[in-house]
Amino acid sequence: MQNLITRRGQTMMAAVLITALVLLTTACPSENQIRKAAKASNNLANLTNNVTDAVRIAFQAGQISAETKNKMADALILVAKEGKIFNDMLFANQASAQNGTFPPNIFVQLSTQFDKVVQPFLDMATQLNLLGPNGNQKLAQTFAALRAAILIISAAFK
Amino acid sequence: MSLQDTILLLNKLIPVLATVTGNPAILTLAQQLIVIANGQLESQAAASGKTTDQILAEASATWDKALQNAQDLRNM
Repeated sequence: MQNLITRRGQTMMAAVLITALVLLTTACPSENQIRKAAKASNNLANLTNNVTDAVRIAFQAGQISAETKNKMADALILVAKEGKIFNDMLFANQASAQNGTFPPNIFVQLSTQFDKVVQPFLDMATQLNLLGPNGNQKLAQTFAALRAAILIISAAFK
Repeated sequence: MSLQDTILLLNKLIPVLATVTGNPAILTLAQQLIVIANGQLESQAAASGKTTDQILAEASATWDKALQNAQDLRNM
């Protein structure tokens, strides 16, 4: 149990450090903020599909239980629903942007919605931790790619 | 280096970071990779012949597909 807590603690610390690095390296507003966000949204949706496929393969191979599969599917459904809302908000608010950058009040709304996309993803991370070191490697790699994409899409807004 | 290549590198790097947190060399590498990935996104967006509306429409359809895919997974 102590090892599990330590490993989770290390993972959390790594996530915080990576996020901090992303913020430090991308803090300046970009003229292409909206377009970057749109492209990143599309990439994230594709990666969500990849994770779904990887979970399906892992389940069919008997590497994860039906319970784990269902919990991860529930999280992926939430990611997709909130991601669609996020994309719709980008669509609706792009006219308000000046020089490709969102006004502060719109930025807050987008940031809040983005957090709703991230939260079910974090729930999924908990599920992945439950798989342990002998879990499906493809699933873990695909999940890491999705996590990297979330960091990148964060860089477009934070 | 393409965005896909960068993602693949990050893919390998992030699990390593989870176990060797605090290693300055690896953190520096991660920082560089993230800068590259961000730059790739920006250049791709600038180079794209699609309008922002078209990109968002494509993303919207992809999210719909992702939702359907996840629901199919839940029901299998």
